[in-house]
Amino acid sequence: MIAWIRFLLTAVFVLAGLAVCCIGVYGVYRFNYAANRMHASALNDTLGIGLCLVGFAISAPDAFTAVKILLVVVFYYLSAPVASHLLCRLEIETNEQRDAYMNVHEWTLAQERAAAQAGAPVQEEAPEPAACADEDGAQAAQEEEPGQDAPADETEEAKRP
Amino acid sequence: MRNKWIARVKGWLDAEDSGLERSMAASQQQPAAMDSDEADAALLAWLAEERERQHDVASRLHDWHERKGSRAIHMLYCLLCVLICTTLIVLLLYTVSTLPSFGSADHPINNEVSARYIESGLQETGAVNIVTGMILDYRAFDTLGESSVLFTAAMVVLFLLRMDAKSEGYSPLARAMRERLHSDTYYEPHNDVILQRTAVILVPIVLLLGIYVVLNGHLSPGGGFSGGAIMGAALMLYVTAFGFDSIRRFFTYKTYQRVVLCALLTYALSKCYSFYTGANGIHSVIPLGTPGAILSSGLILVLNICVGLIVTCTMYAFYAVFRKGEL
Amino acid sequence: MSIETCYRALSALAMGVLVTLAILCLVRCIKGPRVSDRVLAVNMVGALTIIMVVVFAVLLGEGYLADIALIYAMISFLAVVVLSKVYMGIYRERKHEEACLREMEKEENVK
Repeated sequence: MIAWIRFLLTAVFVLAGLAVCCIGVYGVYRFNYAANRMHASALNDTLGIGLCLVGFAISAPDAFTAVKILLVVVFYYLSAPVASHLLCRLEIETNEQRDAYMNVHEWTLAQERAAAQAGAPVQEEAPEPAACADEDGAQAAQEEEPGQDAPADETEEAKRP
Repeated sequence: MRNKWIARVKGWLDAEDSGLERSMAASQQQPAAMDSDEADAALLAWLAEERERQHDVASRLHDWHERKGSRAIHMLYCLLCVLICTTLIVLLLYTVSTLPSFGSADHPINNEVSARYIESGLQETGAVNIVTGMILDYRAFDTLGESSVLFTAAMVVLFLLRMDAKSEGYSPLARAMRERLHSDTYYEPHNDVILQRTAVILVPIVLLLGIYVVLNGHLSPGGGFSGGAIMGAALMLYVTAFGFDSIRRFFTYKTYQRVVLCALLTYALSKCYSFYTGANGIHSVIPLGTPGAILSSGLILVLNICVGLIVTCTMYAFYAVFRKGEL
Repeated sequence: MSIETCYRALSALAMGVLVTLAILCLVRCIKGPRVSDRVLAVNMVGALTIIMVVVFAVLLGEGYLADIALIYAMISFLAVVVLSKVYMGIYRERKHEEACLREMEKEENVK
């Protein structure tokens, strides 16, 4: 009897998780830009894995395995947001046509304008490779672009040689 | 007579009158004859000629590509590719189909060796995980060879790709310039706060999992190689989050040298004891313990730790050398 | 209709669905016009692989496969992090070189 209840709970959770994964993959196809697709991918990363693995932890062979499966969920919940943060940063920084479909936050635009103004006087050096190293000021200023980490970027600029 | 021969041998050894020196002296005389303006003009003229030549070659290649001739060769190439790949696939599939079926009783690998491993593996090695018992007890010599190969490969890569040892003594500006030239991470974003705060929690978790996999090699699937890879991944995560300067506080080239050398020597010396007792029929004093306990199966725990340390250091060393150019 | 067959049916269904989704993510990885699309698809395939390994862990009743799922979660996270940083570095290096080239051309024109 208990075995059947266990199986039913597992089946409910796993089927719900699979449905969410299917919706996630469908979303990745239907959305048209990488920044939008990240929303659908995050669906897969959080609810999809969460429901499926909780379902399987219910009918795990022994308690230790169930704890390990739940540890997988905990670790994944800690690490997946960081991965998608870095992915989003990659997209915002390297996409040159992003203003066509993205409204970048005003703070980020202000940072970029400040970086461009700070970068311009530095770039009037002689064009040898050794002197191109002096554009480090522009590089350090450009690193402040992603609109997330205000205090860290100032310490980052102070730390660069 | 003897002095003449000695003088000739000495002259040959010191290369006093070699053709190389004569030609070098001859070639070095020419630029000194011109003064600087003529030299500049000659160089610019030569550069212009080179550019003309390359432009000529490029335009001829472009014309040939436009003409139909290259299309036929392209189609022939595609046809040959498909033909050769199909032939290879058919041959290989036919070969695979003639192999004995999976798990059949008269398979050539079901001989007395694997029967012995399965039947008396637990009693003779004390390891619940028969695979670990096999690679670190029955065939520990092979694993010693593998660890040595890993060590040799890492050493050779470091010899060839590492920047010279004198870079330890350079000034900060010189180090920064060298880093700019050789390091892949120069342009990458550093000090991402979200990654750093999360790495503070995650790196210990990954390291702990690596240590668990290494220590449980004889109880569950894992062992030195996979646990070492996980610990190497923990170090890579640390480096990605905090930067190379931060990891040089505890992991430098000297650390790598000492850890790998000590681990390999420990492995070799401790296994020599088993080789000695096994070859001479002496009973070995290392207890096998109860199967399933962590302190069981003789030397396998020590060997797993050694292999794990070697693999960790090697994985991180390769990552650092390929990304930064030095350890 | 024993429990065993029910579990096997559920596992078979789950594996079938997951493998199909993984192949679709692979197609997205190939098609995706930008690098971020591809790294995103790789991340999704990693998540689906973790679920696949746990399906086997429960179906075969072996506990060590959960270890493998945990390890793979770590490795795929590390892969996405390192790939993002590498691509950002490559993009910035290219921008820097283009800026240097523009400087050199300006100097040549001035001369």
